[in-house]
Amino acid sequence: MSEQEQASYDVHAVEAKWQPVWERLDAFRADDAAVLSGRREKRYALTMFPYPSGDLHMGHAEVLALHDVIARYWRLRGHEVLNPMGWDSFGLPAENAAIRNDSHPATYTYANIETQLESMKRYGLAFDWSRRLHTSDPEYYKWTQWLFLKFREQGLAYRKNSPVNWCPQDQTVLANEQVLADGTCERCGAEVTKKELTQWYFRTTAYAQELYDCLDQLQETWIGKVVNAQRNWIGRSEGAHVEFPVDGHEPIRVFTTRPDTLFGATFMVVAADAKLAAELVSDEQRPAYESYLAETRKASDIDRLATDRPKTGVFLGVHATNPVTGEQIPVWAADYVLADYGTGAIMAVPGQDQRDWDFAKAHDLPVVRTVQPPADWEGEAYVGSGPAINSANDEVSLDGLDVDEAKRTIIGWLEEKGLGTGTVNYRLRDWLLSRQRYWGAPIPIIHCPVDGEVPVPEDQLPVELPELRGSDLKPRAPRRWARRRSGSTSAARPAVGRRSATPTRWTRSSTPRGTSSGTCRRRTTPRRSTPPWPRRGGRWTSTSGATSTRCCTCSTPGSSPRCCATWAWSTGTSRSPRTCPRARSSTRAAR
Amino acid sequence: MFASPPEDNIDWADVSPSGSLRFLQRAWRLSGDVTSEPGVPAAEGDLELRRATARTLADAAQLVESYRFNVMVARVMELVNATRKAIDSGVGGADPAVREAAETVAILLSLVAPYTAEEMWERLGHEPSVAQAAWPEPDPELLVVDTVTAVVQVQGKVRARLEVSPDVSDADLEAAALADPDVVRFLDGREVRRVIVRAPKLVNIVV
Repeated sequence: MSEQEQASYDVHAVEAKWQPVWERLDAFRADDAAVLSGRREKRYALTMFPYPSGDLHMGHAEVLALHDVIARYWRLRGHEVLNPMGWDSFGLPAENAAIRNDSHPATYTYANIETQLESMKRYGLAFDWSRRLHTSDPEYYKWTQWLFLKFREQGLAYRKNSPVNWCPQDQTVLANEQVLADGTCERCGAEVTKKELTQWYFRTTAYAQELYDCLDQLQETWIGKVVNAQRNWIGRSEGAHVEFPVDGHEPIRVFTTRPDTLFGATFMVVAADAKLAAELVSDEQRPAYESYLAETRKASDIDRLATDRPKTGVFLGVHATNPVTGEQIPVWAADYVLADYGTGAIMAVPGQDQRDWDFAKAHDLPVVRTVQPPADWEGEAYVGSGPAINSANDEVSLDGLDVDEAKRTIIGWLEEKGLGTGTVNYRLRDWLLSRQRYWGAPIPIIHCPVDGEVPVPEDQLPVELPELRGSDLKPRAPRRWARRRSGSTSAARPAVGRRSATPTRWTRSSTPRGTSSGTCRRRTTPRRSTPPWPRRGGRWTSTSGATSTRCCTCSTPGSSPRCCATWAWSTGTSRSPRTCPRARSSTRAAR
Repeated sequence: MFASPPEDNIDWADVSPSGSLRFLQRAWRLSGDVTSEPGVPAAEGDLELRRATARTLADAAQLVESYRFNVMVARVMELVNATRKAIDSGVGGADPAVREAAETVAILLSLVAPYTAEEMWERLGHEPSVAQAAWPEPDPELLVVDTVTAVVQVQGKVRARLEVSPDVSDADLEAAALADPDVVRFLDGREVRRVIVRAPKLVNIVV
């Protein structure tokens, strides 16, 4: 070992030495001119934007370091690498922190961003810091709002009434994944309930097949378990819609992946919290049904779908006709069927489905096997393949056919008779994007009592958030925001209703940042130091051009009347609040 | 990065930062032992080390593009060891191949350990920054590191042996076999019905 071999260097000193050098050299900026002139090839390296809930953790460091290898590699290979970084900086943690500290959510958010920025610089990451963005900046969420309007124009963003997980403590909607196994909120531990709310959705289901097909392209290059998880998430299944006639009511329409087992459908189950159940229930059974419904509302979807859960339910006092056997079969309400999956009702085939089997055994309902299990079969429901049995009526027989052939045969017969249609179903659901709290991009829709949903004109974006802090943000202060609106300074701001819908941060996570960063004004703007929050009238407002329209975005789901229809705009010099001319009279009436 | 393929889960308790640091220090020391000037023609350097450098570069590009970063790091470690050996018990720190190898180590390390790489680059006499350096293109001739012996059979009997690259393609090997004087002599003008090629080891000619 040589003398040199013993030598070493001071790691900390070296870190302090190189960071300013990289900054001085602007070493990682992607040069637009070099690309536009064709001198250099271009690459786009995009990694996940962190949520600024504190400093970075080891998981961030790992992911960012892996990404950095790729970005640096292509730069050395002579490409201009567009490698931006940003922060997914809207979200409930900032809001809760603001309530705790009696401050603005921006204070917490932008302070954490600065902390994380320092860490990233210490990691020596090759980001193009001239292309930095925060999804909570009006300059950015202007484009979130613009995209939302484009989606809405195409019918890909829409509102519907639907039961959602509701945390009464946080006063917010939760994704299924945010409800713990014991039915409590992952953040605050409160018992999560179901609530019918009119909410904004992205129509992700319109792309279910396309998404499914495109996964083929990732098969070679992606990790198998990730691709499979995606496939299962989309959950494509071929099957049929079948109608079961009910006396004195519309037929009950169900989706089944196993129309071949229709002869074994010995009862039906409707989701207890589906409207259908309330419509079908007989007068005698109504009290029993309603007490069961109250219990159901407390359970999370994930619990409800668990296979080992005791199968509870209540008979609705009505019967439906099995379209292939002609038999009258009882209709039950239960919690193991979800209201917003498929049609909210199922045909129960206990012979071929374990949950139906458990339910039949618990409530003493008949079981008919329609697929021959193997000779040594000792289990309960048999979900495997085999020849059909007990599956014939006067017109059609499936007996002896294998599952696929039996499916085709019975779908043909159902379609001929007008009793059903072959179809494809997906587990993927439309993406709920409203969040019933403050710190998110306001949805640029005016709820006008006369015209209904009115999109804010594009040239008046962004619709900015009102300035709220501390206890203003507390849940269960329902009228506070509405009151703010009446103040002279805030009248020109969006009169965001207490329950106005702002998108969850998932919305921004799925926003194509490339587009937005390309048009971000930030590049020509010097980085601000402190305070980082864009103050009104400060540099931020001036970079966003003339102060834009402030509109009412209140959607007040579940309450009426709509809290306001005030909208106001700036003409450049005056900022007098205006009222939507057509809505003026009704607005006054509402007040 | 050093620990495992990116898709694997990592238990950070099992990862030793001191191990990584020792490696980086070892790489960095190379830059202090290079005694030639920047820009010295590498072509005059030690052939064995030059081959190791060229092979590492070619492999590293492939490994990065297929996201096998941990293997890339392992290949850089091998190059560091080879360079160390050349300095201590081989051609010595003045050989141009040693400079070429150390510069390659700095450039490759800049992907995973930019601070160490910058220190090395500076000590090797270059202006900052290594992030703005160019990826060196390895000389293709240096990539033919070894040859293997391919056996050529005619009608099941060994008639020739060829020294070929381990990467030789089936088509190239077949052409080389059919052009070999001994093979031509044994074929004696007969029509070739089939050629079975198992590159780089075997060619079987059926007439």
